[in-house]
Amino acid sequence: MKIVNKKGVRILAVVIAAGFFTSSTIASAPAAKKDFNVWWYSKDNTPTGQTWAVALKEFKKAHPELNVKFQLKTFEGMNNAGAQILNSNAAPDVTEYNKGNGTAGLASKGGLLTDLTPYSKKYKWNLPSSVSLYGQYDKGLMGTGKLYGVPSYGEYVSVFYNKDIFAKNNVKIPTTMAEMEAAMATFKAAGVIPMEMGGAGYQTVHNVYALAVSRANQTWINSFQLFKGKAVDATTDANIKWAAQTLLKWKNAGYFQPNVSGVSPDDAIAEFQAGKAAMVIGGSWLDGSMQTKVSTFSYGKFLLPGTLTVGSAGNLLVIPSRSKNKDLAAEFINLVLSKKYQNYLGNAGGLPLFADAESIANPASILTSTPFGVAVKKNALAMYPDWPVPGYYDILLANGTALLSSGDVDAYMKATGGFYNDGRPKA
Amino acid sequence: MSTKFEQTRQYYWFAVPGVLTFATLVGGSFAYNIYLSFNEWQGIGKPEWIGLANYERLIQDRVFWISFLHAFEFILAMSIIPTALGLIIAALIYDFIAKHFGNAVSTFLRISLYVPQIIALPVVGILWAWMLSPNVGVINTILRNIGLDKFALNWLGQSSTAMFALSIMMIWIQIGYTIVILISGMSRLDPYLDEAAQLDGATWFERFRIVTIPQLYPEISVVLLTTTVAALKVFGPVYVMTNGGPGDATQVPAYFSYFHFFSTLKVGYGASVATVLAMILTVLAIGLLKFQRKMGVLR
Repeated sequence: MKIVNKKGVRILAVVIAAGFFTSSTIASAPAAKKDFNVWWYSKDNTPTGQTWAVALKEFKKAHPELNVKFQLKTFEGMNNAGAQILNSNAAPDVTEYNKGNGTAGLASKGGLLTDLTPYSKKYKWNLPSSVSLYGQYDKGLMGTGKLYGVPSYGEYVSVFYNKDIFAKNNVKIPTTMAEMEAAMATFKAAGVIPMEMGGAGYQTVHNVYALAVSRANQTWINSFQLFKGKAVDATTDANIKWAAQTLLKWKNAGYFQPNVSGVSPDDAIAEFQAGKAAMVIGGSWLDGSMQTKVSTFSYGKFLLPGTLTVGSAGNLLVIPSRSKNKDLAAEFINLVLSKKYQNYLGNAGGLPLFADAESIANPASILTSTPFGVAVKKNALAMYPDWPVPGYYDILLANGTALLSSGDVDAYMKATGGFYNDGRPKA
Repeated sequence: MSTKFEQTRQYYWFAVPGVLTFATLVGGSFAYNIYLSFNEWQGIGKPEWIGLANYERLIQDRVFWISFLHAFEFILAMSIIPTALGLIIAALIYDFIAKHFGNAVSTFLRISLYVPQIIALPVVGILWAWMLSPNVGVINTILRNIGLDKFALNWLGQSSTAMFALSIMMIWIQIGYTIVILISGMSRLDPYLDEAAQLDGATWFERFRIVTIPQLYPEISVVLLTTTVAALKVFGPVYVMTNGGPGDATQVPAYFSYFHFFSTLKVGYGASVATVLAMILTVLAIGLLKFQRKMGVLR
């Protein structure tokens, strides 16, 4: 039996021809306008995403000759396949990109990013070194070298707390780890969940590191993150081991929900927002969500007691080497760094790096920028746990969940530390 | 006398699109993947030739072997159990429900059981992650309400149950596929054989075992082959549900390869995993096809 008869073939041919015809007309029609592709992955409910969207609107208005195309990407997507995308013809003109050796560092080493130093001079960005270090890479290592990306906001991990529950139990904001544990014991005795924790997701990654850096110093950070000085042996490191043990101690004391290793961060945060728990450790990217979703109680923020705080300048804006509109891309970055949009970001509840303090009036902004200011002032930002080695994030995640379910600290140290030691640059 | 080739020559042109597509999309990619597996490469810059080093590492990599062990566990969850269950349910629908409740009911059941196949996997992932959530999930809530607190486990949160929980989800997804194919197979069977056996006094189960199943061998083997291959290269469910965790509890070869390709950026190493996986799949598929031929299924 013939599968397709003659008439069928003719119809098929017409359909295919029509397909070619329409697609070619669609592609050629707006050719008068040049495409300008902008990507980021700060969601539109975050202050950063909102501010950039408004800045892009102004940029669009100033450049009617451009066909500005914006795409909202995901952190995971850019974290996993970012280098491959930047290396392809699909690379955008300007994009948000993750800082760190495994991402921006690698891309800069591969020649995928444009050196922004000339633009920094042209527009007089005058970035302080504590900000520019996140965009500077030398042979793929963060901290010094050419400027490949510019952060425009800050972010940090701190403790969100339920002021009502604290007041009801006469608990003050803890200033030492001992007070922190005493507070959790009080809440536990009062029948309140002391700490929300999404053990199935990224909170395991952040919380272990938050505990580790709470007793680390900048020398340790330089060594662990920037590979300067004596190498950290992550299979035996005292700070990491203490952090893993402490997390387990808290779990065994019943300070988390039961079955914590199966709870997703979204669920954990939703429970805190519903007023069911005294605290949750979370990043400043949750500020917007807390502001809109917490309605039955008032909440505050404090830094986890200890020396250092998980945090840094935020993600970078970079110009891929494949961008065909580098000058325009730099113009957009300049717009984002301008006082106007830095102040806008501050009032939207974000953490601007270059805003005028007096022009920010939003109480939610003050709530989040005050602890951040404290951390910045004492030079206590400890960066993020997954930066040093590519792929470390997934390993920390999978083994963090396993740590909470199995309680095996040695296995955690062996798996995560082995991966770190194996992946760090060889001297 | 014209040879067979001359007789059929004109038809070979019809193979050109298929051959070209295969050569560029499959053949070319596969060759490139093999090339990459002999290199150290971070996905950008120049690949560096390192010979068999990736394969040497692979042999010693505990996680790689664990991932294959899990792939074989997935054969159970995605192929053997869904086929066995599918056979029983298909027979029930075809022989019992269609006869006693009419075609409408049996069609409704068939469609309902097929629904998991057409729901997008990320949606399935969110749905099951929520159902399996230890404290607020519907599965544990039901178990607690009927007094089975002991069985309200931390399904995806601990290594000992994560694989089992994923397997249950996979059975749920796969069963629709096996049922649809097996029912279509049943509808082509010769009813006289069944009636003859019935007249000879065979029970329903005897007829199912001796008359129906042997006639269904072609469908059963197709289902087994496709689902086994799907099980060995399973990726999506692991990606959306567990990312291979907790620890390595649900690590599978395809996810392990992806992890090295895109997260650790050891592209060459990821490529060597993919190459080994492809080889094993090819050998296994050829073996299964040979076996089917031997059974006289493919004629």
